Amino acid sequence: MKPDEVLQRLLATRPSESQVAEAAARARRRALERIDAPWRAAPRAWRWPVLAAAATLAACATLLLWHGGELPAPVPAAPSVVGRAAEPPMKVILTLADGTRVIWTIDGNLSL
Amino acid sequence: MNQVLLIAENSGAAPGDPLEELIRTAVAGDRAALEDVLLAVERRVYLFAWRLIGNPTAAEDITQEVLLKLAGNLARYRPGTHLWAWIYRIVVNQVHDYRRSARIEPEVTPQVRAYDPGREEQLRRVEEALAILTSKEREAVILLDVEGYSSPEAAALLGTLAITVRTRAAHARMKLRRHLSRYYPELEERR
Repeated sequence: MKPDEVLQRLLATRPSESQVAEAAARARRRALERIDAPWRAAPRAWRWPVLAAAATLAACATLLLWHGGELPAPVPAAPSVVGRAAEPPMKVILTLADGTRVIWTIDGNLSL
Repeated sequence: MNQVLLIAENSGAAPGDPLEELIRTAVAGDRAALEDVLLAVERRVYLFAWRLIGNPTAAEDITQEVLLKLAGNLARYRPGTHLWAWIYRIVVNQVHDYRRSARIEPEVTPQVRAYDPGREEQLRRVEEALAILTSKEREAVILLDVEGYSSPEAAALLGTLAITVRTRAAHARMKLRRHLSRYYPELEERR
């Protein structure tokens, strides 16, 4: 037998008839399920990524709910006035159209 | 697609072929006829997919997708033209899609391992050899040397030139013989 004929015979090696028949029948049943109900029987390759994404979303939702309890209202810190140095009064200078200058002095108690 | 059908016109199914009648009935809406069409083609589709992809699990997924596409596109088939060239074109495209989306590992079926260790070993060696080919070399050598297509028919099916198919198949044979000759010395050329 010529080498190419030997090679052809080797390439023609196949699984058993029963294995072919069973696998083909499973594929046909899954195809028919999808024809009848398109949302069922997703290709096997897609199942694990979808399950993993769903599990991740569920874990994130759980964490959010666990830590999302009501927190106590923050109490603002009271301003400290002890030892505070007296602040210099604020001056506001207005110049009128005729050149008159008006100077307002505002002290720490906001008195004019 | 038109090129596949044109080249295969001369080898089309005979009028009154039972499968053609089933297809006609299925296209008309008969659900039972559709199931019978899928039943009639499933094994050959699975085997071809298995030869191209080298993994029984992947071949089963690919077969499912091919049967689904067939069911949805039966109305496109022109009676009297080469049905199997059309179907094989769908299988080749589906194998390409599967390769792009998944990592394929060669796998010998557990059932074969349990009951037929001789065949299992041969399958393993052949699959190991086929795994060293590029996908295009593998398609070419399977279509020419296993499925028995001529190079023009295979070229139309693969969307390329006949000379390209012949070149790829020749490279594939050389690689396969080099790899398998360690197990099968008769593969070596006698000088």
